[in-house]
Amino acid sequence: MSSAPHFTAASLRRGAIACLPLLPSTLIFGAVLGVLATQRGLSLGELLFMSLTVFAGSAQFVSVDLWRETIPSLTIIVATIVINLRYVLIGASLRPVFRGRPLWVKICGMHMVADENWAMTMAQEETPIPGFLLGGGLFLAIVWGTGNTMGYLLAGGIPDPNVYALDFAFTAIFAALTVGMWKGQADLLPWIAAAIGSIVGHYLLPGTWSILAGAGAGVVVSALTWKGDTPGNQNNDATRPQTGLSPADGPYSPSPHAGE
Amino acid sequence: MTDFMTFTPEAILTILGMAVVTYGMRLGGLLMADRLPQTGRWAHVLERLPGAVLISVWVPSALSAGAIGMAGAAATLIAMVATRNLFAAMIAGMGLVALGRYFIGT
Repeated sequence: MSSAPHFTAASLRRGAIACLPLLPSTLIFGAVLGVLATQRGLSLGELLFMSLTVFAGSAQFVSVDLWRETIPSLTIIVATIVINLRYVLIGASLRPVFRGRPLWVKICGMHMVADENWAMTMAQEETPIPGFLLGGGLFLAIVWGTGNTMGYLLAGGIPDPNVYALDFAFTAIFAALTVGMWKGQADLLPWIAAAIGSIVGHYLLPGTWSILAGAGAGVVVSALTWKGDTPGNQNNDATRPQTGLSPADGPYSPSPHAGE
Repeated sequence: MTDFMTFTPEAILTILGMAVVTYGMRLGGLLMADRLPQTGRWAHVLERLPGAVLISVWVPSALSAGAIGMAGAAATLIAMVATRNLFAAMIAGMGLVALGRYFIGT
């Protein structure tokens, strides 16, 4: 069982700092959502309430866009489920971060999970404690809400994110973090399958179904390519330090589950 | 008139509905994974999951951004492999996309 602390000030700060490169894009997109909200009749309070309780950018864009004077609640909630289905997989993949920790830590730690702080957490060479994840989430939430407020108050006049390629920041950071997630050859075929699945999904399926198509293809291929837990083929997360490509990921690095 | 602090019951309920389903999927995914074995095939699949999800998030966005988006993604990957520096990789990709849009359009 893990005896490491769950949420330390230092881990919150490191998680926040890790997400710092996303500040400009998150702020601008938050502002774009704020402008959209003024056109759809949400109050600023309602928008901020949504940003803090739902905390999922793409689902919020679609929901605010669907918002009308008579709110199509069911449509909005169903759209939210479809767009956010990937969070089931994202939540599942966070198992190493929460391993051996009490339920209340999981309950508190899993709310502020966006794609960005999740990806940053998973790409760390050593599995971080939940505070790292939460620190990134709190930072993004503050920036996101600040952007919402700016956009709402200005109600326009926001620079077009495309001009400075700020829209591309998310794509770039996710692509770069993928490189950091490489754990060895066992990743190769599942990753190729995920890429192909998401490309096929992108052309054939609506909305964000491509994420699920790609992730599903990756899951199927990784299940099929499993060759057993032999010492030369350490794949499960309990033994993962031995597979790392980087020297820092070696058996000498302190880890939250060092006692296991 | 700027509308700051109106909270209609319909809006609150809709937002709470969105929040409950989203949080439920986040926590539910983790709790389901906790019930899976710590070794063996499922552990192997879970270990591959972050990369597979992440790739499936950005590959379609790069495609949506057109030829310059794909070039930008390639530049990001190359810069990351070469420098192992997240910020450098991000600047390489975003810089290429910004320049490409400025000089050749989308």
